[in-house]
Amino acid sequence: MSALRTSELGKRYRQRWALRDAGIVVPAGARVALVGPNGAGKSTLLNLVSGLLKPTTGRVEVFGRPLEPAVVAFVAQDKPLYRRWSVADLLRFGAAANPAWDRAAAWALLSGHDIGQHERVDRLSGGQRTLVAIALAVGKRAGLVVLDEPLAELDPLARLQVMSVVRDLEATVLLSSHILADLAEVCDHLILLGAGRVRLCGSFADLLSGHPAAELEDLVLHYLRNPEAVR
Amino acid sequence: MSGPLWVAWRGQRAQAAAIAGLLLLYGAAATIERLEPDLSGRTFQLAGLLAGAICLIWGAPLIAREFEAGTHQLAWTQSLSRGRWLAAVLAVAAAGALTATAVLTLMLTWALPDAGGDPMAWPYYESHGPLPFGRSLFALALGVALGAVTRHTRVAMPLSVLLTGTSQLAGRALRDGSGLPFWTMQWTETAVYLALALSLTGVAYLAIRHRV
Repeated sequence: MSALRTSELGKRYRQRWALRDAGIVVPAGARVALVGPNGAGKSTLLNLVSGLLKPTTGRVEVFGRPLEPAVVAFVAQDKPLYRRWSVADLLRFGAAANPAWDRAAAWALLSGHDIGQHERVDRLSGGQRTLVAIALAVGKRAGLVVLDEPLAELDPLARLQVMSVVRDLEATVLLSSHILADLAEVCDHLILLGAGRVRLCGSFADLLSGHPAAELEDLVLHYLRNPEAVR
Repeated sequence: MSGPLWVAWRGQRAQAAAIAGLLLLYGAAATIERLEPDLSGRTFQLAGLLAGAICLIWGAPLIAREFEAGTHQLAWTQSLSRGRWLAAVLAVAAAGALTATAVLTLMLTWALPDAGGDPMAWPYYESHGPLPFGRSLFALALGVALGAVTRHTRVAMPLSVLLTGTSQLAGRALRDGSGLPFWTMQWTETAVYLALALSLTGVAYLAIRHRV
């Protein structure tokens, strides 16, 4: 069964289509890198998959069923958290808002990175805040974890920490970046968006086989430079 | 406290504390008035400001602040529906507004049993009966709806205070012309405020239903 399947998925803001006719299939257990230039529709796609946005056209299925909030965990762009709360308050929030809450798993992630429960969120570093946001997603026990630009504005060490946590998540993971190199080591699947359209969708191995490009970067560049290229 | 209600309470503790601070000021004003008979009636004249404080401090930022900080994206991607989230948030806020109104009403009537003057004059009329409760809920819902629609506290806060004040003045003008007895007028006005509060709650729900 696929973890995520969208068909004819589209979102229009007034006259402009932010995303159009997106058909995506993500197998269970995949680590999917969602890449594309700024304004390509990455956040729109992730907001549709997380249920924050209602699609204009098409549908989203998660693990074979219509999208429900409990089955997807979402870490939004800029990792919004209640900044004046303590870490313990935020985890209690997670427990209060999610029936399947896994307290032990959420705390294990935080204590593994020396984040104390009495620390206030606005005193944490950007990397630590990202880990708290991911801990909320882990505690929710969702089968699909979606992260919008989780590495943006992090220093190199924090990036490594976050990517190693993402690698170990026991879920299907979909995460976006406008820099593919950030994600290539951890991910095994790619979705490339350009101008609101899905240009590529598949595993790294499948995408590279039968294409002259030797590296993923070259493949992505080829499809972005040639808007007419069809796979 | 059950799940969603705890979430709502944790998010509104600071507002509750601010309103509690305001009630202490009212208590101080009532005490001073008792000691200084020259000030008779002043505290009742100030009592109407509670509704303004409720829309300013509690109602307007309730949803607008979530939009400004982006935390609505966190709140609305948990396992609760947006409708349940809003219901819990409004239940806590409404309980707070009603409690504050009850405390103020009791405080004023106990501390100043002789003050207020003519029952139909606004300082007395607007601090007695069900009317202050209806006004508080209306002010809260007005602030919440404006915050949800405008998504900016800096717009919703002043606008909601302005409209709450305007509604108070409009109520006085209509009252002067109606000539209805005290309780008929009290309940009629309260019913109008409650109906407006319900409609504004609907506006707030529609404003957040499909938005990111």
